[in-house]
Amino acid sequence: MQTQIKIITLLFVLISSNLYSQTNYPFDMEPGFGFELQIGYPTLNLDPLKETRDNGLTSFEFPAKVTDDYPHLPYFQGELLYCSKLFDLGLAFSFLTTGTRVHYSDYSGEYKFDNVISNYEYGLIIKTKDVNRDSPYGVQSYVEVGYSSLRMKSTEYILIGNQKQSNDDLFTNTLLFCELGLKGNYYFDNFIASIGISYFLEFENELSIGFDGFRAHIGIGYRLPFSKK
Amino acid sequence: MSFFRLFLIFAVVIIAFTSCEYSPTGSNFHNIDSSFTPPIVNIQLPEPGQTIMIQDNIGYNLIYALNGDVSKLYKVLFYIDTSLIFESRSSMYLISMLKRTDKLLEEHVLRMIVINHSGTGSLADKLGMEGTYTERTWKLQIYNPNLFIPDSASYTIEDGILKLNWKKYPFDNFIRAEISKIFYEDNVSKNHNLVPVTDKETNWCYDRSYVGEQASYQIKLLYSVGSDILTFSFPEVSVPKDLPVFTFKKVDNSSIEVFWTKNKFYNSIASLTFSNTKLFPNFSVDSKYQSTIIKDLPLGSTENINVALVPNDSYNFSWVSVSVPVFTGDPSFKYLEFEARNGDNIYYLQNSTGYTYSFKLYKYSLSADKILDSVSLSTQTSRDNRVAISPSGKNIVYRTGNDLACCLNGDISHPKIITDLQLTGKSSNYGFDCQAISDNGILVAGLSGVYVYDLINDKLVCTMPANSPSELNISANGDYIALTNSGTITSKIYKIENGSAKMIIDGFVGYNFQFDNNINSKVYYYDVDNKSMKYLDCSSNVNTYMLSSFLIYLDLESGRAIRNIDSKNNEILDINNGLQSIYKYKSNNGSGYIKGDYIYFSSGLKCKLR
Repeated sequence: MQTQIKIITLLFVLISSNLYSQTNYPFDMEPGFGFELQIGYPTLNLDPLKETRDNGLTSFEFPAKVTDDYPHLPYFQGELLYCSKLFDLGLAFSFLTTGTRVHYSDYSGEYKFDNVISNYEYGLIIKTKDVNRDSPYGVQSYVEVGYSSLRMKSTEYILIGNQKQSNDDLFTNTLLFCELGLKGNYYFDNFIASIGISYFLEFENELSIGFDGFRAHIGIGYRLPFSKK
Repeated sequence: MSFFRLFLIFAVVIIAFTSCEYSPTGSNFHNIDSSFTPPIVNIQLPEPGQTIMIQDNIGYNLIYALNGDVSKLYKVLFYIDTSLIFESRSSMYLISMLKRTDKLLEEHVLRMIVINHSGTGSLADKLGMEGTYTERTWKLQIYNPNLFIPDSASYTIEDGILKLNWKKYPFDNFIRAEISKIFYEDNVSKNHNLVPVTDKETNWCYDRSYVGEQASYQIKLLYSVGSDILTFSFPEVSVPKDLPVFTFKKVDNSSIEVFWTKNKFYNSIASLTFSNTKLFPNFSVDSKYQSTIIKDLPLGSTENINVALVPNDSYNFSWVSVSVPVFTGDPSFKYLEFEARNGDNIYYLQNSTGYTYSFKLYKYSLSADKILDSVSLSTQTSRDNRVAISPSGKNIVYRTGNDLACCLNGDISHPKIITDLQLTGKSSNYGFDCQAISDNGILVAGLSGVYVYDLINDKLVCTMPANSPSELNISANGDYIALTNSGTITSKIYKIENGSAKMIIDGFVGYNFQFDNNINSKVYYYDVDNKSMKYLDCSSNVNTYMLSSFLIYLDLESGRAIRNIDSKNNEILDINNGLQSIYKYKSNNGSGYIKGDYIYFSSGLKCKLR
């Protein structure tokens, strides 16, 4: 219910700003292409994985330890946009990754368990036009829909003397997602600097882990030159 | 900047992003001492190499126990072949192994591995890869004794031979089938083992020694499990008696033809051996025949002949015998005493059932071929000659108790009783010794002395001295009396004249005196000294005439006499025709008595002269 309320609220903000921009749009811009790169922090929900790992550790007969514990790393996003008079429309690709390691070693050998999680998001993004193009500052709302593809790779490795044993396990899961966001832009020459916040929502996720939640990002973009009428 | 360049940048960015997959880092190294001393562990189990046998449905409880230094025990593992069946970290445990098999015997290898920690605490130590390793193996046999449940065995008859059949089991380790035959010989149970069947594909055998006797068979299969020999037995197979049926018919007085049926086991019978040492020498008949004639048999015999069915397979095996009753002659009557003179009647005596000295006297009519009358009597002793008949067969006297029952005109049911007291004036202990009666009613009785009594006039005629007379005879008219003393063993002839007895001949020993029916003064007797039958004529001068040697019985009415040739052979002679031989015969039952055309044997048979 809380998620639904959040979505409704964001949609309300998006629609309201879009309507406002449409009614106050002062320029007659030529269409053109643009490119943006973003880096930000996603929401990570990996606690169940940690619990499972920690529970497993208790049954180990040797004192293995967690040496790397799913660090909260930034995600990266690239956008290729077609900027029309009314909307910016384009393709978006996001990537985030993190992982963990359990390790033990002594003179007799080594035990290592690595778990790496990578999430790939492929989407179609639509952005509204800035409210006031006469100002170097602007605000855009946007919505992105696409597929979120999770790839979880585990490797368990034991080395006793010169006997080595390794087990690899790969798990993938692909979901439909939607991301709603709002960002502020600063225009200089053909470049754009931006900062924004969004809400990332995966549909029908039956896994105990996921990336639902708010995201914050900063970005830089480049637009092909456009002229005023 | 064109769109193409933007797109190229976008693609490069994607590739750059995905190449930045996270790689976990970090290390957790422990510096520990790697030195350790191997522990000494002893295993309490069967010795290595020993065979452990598990029964399919019971299982096997394997108890292992480790002693010594078990503080560093890591694991105990048990494998059957390569399959792990048990894993424990305990130094002692009870393992219930229940391994099923659909074979009679399965062989596996049981392997026990004991792993000890090194105790260093290293990763290899913790994973059981550093320390000591002990392995033992045993030969494991799993056998299923219930795999082969004995089915019922049966028998069939194939081409006249008994064939035993049993269920065939898929033995890999079949040894043999043992077949034991149980039969009865003279009511004694006997065993006979057939040749064992050693071919595992053969689930049958023939018994060529079985000819139809009542028998049962035990079939036992032997098979090996490891070094053990196990057996199981089929339920007993009973074969009911089915012997040939024997019958006979008389061919003539001394020959019979024996017939027998062809039984179901005809091909097991090689021959039939007939035996009865009293009747004939043993002889054999091939089994392809179904009858045989036995000739030259003794007359008047009622015997069982033994027929042995000789089987084809008679090796070390008793023959099966059948007892076949046969007789030579026609049924008449058994007798203890046979008394007949002239006339239509025969008087014979039989023992009464249950009493030693009790008898029954029968009066039998030859013409009517039936018993006319009978009367019971008893005596103080079992001595014979308890019945005497007058020469014409008209009057009869018999001893009963201490009395004499005198029957005139053949009426044995209404005798006139003459007591010993009545004749001798005193009671005797055993009654009269002997007695005779004439056709005209003169009774002569012996008891110490000899007493002559007139039954018609009821008066004692006279007495004669005697020394325990054993035989008395009187002529038809009562004028002549022959007696033989047993004390001095002498015989005398007396003539009764005017109420007194006059001895007319003395000084000889004779038996079986028999006065002629027509000539009162003529008496036949067997002369002991000369071992011959003679007769005397006492009418005027006493003359003795030789008749024949070994004559032992006369039928004066028919003029025939029996001559005893030897202990088994006899001859019928014609007295009136120069002692011409009429008929020769063998007998095992004495010479019998002749009356008319028949010889009567004490066995209960009569044979007509031919």
